[in-house]
Amino acid sequence: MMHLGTDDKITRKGRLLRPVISIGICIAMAIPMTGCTLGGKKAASDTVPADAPYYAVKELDFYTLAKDESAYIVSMTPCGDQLAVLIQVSSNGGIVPYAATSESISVSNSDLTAETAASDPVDTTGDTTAAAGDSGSTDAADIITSATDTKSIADLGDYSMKYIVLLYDITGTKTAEIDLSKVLGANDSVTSMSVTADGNFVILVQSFDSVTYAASNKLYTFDSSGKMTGDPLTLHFSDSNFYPYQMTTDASGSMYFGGYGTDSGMVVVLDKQGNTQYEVKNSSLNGNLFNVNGVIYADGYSTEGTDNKYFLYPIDAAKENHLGDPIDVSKVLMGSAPFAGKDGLYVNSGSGIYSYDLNTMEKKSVLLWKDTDIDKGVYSYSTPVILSSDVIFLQGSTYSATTSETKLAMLTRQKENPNVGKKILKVAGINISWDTTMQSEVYKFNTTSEDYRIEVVDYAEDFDYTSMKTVEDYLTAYSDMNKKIYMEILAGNGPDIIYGSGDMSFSMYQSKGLLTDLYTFMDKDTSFKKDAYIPSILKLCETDGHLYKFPTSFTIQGFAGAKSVIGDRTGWTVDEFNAMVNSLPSDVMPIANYTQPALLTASLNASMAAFVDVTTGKVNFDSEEFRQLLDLAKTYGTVDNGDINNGDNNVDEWTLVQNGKLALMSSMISDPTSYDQMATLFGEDVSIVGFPSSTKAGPICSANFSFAISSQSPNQDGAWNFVKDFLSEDSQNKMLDSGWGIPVMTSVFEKQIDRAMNPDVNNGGGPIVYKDMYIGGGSEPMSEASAQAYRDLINSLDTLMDSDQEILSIVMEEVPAYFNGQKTDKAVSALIQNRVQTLVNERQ
Amino acid sequence: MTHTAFLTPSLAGVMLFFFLPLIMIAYNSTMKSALNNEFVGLKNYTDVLNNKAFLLAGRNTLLFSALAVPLAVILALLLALLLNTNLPGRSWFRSIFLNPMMVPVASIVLIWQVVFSFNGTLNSFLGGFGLDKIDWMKSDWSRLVILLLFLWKNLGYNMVLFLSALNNVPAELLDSAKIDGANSVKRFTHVSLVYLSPTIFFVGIMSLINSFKIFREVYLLTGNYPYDALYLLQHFMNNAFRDLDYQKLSSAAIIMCVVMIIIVGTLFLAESRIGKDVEE
Repeated sequence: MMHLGTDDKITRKGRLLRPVISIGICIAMAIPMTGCTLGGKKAASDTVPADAPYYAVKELDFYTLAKDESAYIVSMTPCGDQLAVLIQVSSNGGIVPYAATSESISVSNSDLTAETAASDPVDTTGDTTAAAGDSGSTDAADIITSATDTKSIADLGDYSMKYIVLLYDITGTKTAEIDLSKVLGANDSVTSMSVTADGNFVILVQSFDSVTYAASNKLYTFDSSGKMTGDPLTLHFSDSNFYPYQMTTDASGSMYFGGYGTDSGMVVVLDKQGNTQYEVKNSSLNGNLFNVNGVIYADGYSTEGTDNKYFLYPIDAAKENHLGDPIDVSKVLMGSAPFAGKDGLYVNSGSGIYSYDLNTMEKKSVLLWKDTDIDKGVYSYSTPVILSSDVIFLQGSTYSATTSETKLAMLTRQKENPNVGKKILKVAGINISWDTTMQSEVYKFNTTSEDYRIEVVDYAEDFDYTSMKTVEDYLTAYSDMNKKIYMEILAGNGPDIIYGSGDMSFSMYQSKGLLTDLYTFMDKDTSFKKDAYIPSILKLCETDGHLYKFPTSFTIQGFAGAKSVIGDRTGWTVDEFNAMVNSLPSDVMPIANYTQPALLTASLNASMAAFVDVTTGKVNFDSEEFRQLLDLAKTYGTVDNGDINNGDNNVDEWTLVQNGKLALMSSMISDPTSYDQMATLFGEDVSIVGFPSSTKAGPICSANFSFAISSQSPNQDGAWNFVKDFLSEDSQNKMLDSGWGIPVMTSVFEKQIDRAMNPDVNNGGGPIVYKDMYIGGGSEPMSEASAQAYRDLINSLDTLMDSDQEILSIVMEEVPAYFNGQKTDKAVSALIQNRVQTLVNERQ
Repeated sequence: MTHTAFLTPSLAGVMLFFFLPLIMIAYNSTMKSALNNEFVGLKNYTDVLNNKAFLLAGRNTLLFSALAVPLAVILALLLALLLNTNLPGRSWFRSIFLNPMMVPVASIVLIWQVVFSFNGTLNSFLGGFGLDKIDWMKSDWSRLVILLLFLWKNLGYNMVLFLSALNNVPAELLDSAKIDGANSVKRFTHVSLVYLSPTIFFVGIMSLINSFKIFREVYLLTGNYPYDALYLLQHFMNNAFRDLDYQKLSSAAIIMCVVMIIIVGTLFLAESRIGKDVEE
């Protein structure tokens, strides 16, 4: 019997280990392979988690306006555990003759209910006696005025407007309504309000001498009950041209005023008595002040080379120039409207309210809009007040063609989220969080749907504006955002609905099979009437009989010209265009304000299909048709000097047309009125024509915003419900009232025409028709003949904006050599043909 | 056991970072799309092989390598032979020829743009003689321009390798050949060249690799879609990557990998035969 030696044992062990190691490596290799099958379609939809925060919305009792009155919020600020809101009330005409003298109104506190006080504010002028600038304190009780002590608005004197401070407690109840008219003069305007360390609020008032136009500044102090304390403090600044529009105070009582002086932005610091402590002058200062935990910061812009920088400078009396080391906040705050609070600076962004710690630049979310149900269409642009982490106040506005209304809401964090378990639908796009129409639809859907909850994802949310130097930078960033959406769809985290502006390229998603045919939903949804939409628009958006995207509204781009000059047509060839030009008198220009590249781009956008056949891969740039376009652009376009201010040299097309010196007016038809304006401008029937092309393409239809549903969405029915809501008559009507563009629903389209034919410029919900606003004269209704011509134009649309940026970039790279005479048209067209052919071949 | 243990980390690394991605790419190349893992066999390969842009890119890449690699080897060898003589200032020349290696790509591209652009230095110079401008980068001349760029950049390095190899040719063999009556040409072809064959093989492989890397300069000079004579395989794949077309990208990468294996394998075979002669 043989005994195994040590070497034999090792060899045997090795024999055992080798397969183990091999298997281990194989497993290690196989694990990441599982990634190949991940991604793509979501296995299941996301739902609102149980621990998701939720803020309830309470719309607050605001100042009730009388007829012809309007109000806007000048300033909102925390005042202890209250909210102080300074509002300016004026008549819609701009003048509200509230008080015959400076004696006046002073209204209510909690003893006078808001309803009483505001039910007929026209009559709230009263017998209050204190004149502006009255010395001594005025007790709140003294200034309560009964609604019966009032005069009609017609009886009132020369008081132009009034300022009122509204106070709200932490429950959102209005506790006081303090009318400042009693203490303010006729020429006084309130520019800023601030709260002092001892809880009083101070108001900065500017007065202008109506004769000398000299300005003076006064400071009024009120306690939290609305009682004015002490005399108004007249402020004296060494720079007589200094107009402070911002103020704040620190713990020591020093007062900081920010604004513009003679040469630069300025900050002036006064003591309690109004004596100047020091002044800060710096050309980069903007005049905005931020009080962050007692430290006062002034903001400023500077330019370093091509870099624009945004800084915050701490005001520091100890420093030689009274400015501490600047904090570069360009990357986080550039382009935003920051506001101060106890956690640092806050920013109200498209996705929520965030705080930034100025020491660490750490970003924290205070509130995400997805965690509340507030109509962002109303409350989108306000500067909120963060009373505590659980209580936030927002101001908002609603606008229509004839009215506007200011609103105030309080958001309070709840212990339980009523939306837990609802399936989340993501609507994604680029720069969509500020689209008020869409946000209003999201609000409506979220507050009515029992199964789904929309979350808006804006891929431009973290866009770094400081890195953008050129148009190309923006285009690249835009392309990158598009790719990010695409990548996230691939990874299974993409949106259910893509909502894109007119220049968003859906083709990338479409070519990869990422979009669902909307016709499948339309056909099976009996509540949806496809026939209710303008047939020509549906057809234009089709691809091989499928509808992958659909707009909510659209505009038309082309040229307007008198039929007697250009004929009754919608499109023309270059030869036909040249024939028209040759028929013009020598002093009449055919077109104006198009640079050579812009004219070529517009022509190509309308007729790209004539030069590139995506199906066969045939490219036709090395052709007489394209060389004709090159010649057209060179002949009738202006030289592009590359200056971004090139447009400053544009001529006034309206005047030229009126004087008969311009044959074709570049036109953007966004409603019947803008169409009718053309007929009025030319004084006869007009044709709206497309850009010259071999295909005689008509004017270009450009979608304002379009929807598409991801084929990877696990909630396609829910997504369709949202899209259907957005395309509903109700939504189209809203867009008609507040938006811009031609509705896609036939009935609303007709309604828009009807409004143009029967304009009601005063009231009644119709839009004001500014038919002749550029050319003088009164407003005239659209005629039936013009309306029919407009309908015919819409129904004949045959060209959808088709902007292939890759092809255009090659063309635009090569054509300058032709435009500046360095190369022949044949050489340039052959070169474009060569390069574009490679691109098109690659796409096959 | 010991050698297995030592081998495991590097083997695992190679597996993880080379073979695994290769397998994943191969897997992707047989799927319908990134979102649809339906097996489609060789359809993506046939699509790519029928794609005119891919064929153009492949043709251009092979043509460039076929021209550039032999020239890079032969010219570098000739330079090395020249500088291996008692040429005055040869150490200066060695340094000068190595300089292009130290210049950043961006600078090289900038220089080439200044010289060869339509309004560049060369056209200005030619204009002085009344000659028409030539669009060097957007005509068939572009191949020559890029070839010059490649040679300018790579000759110095190859030359140094050859100089080193020439120093390793046994002097006694050369001397005995001389005594036997072999002239300088015969001494070079029958002695030096044989000993230089591993270096020629190595320089050839390196030049082949570098010829594929010329995409970097071409891309910086001409962008995604250059004049068709300069459209290389990497353009095709880079654009597919940019468009997130993984199936096209994977298929093209696998095809390119197979072609490279064939080329390098052929070179290995040739080298092993010549190497055998040296050993014998």
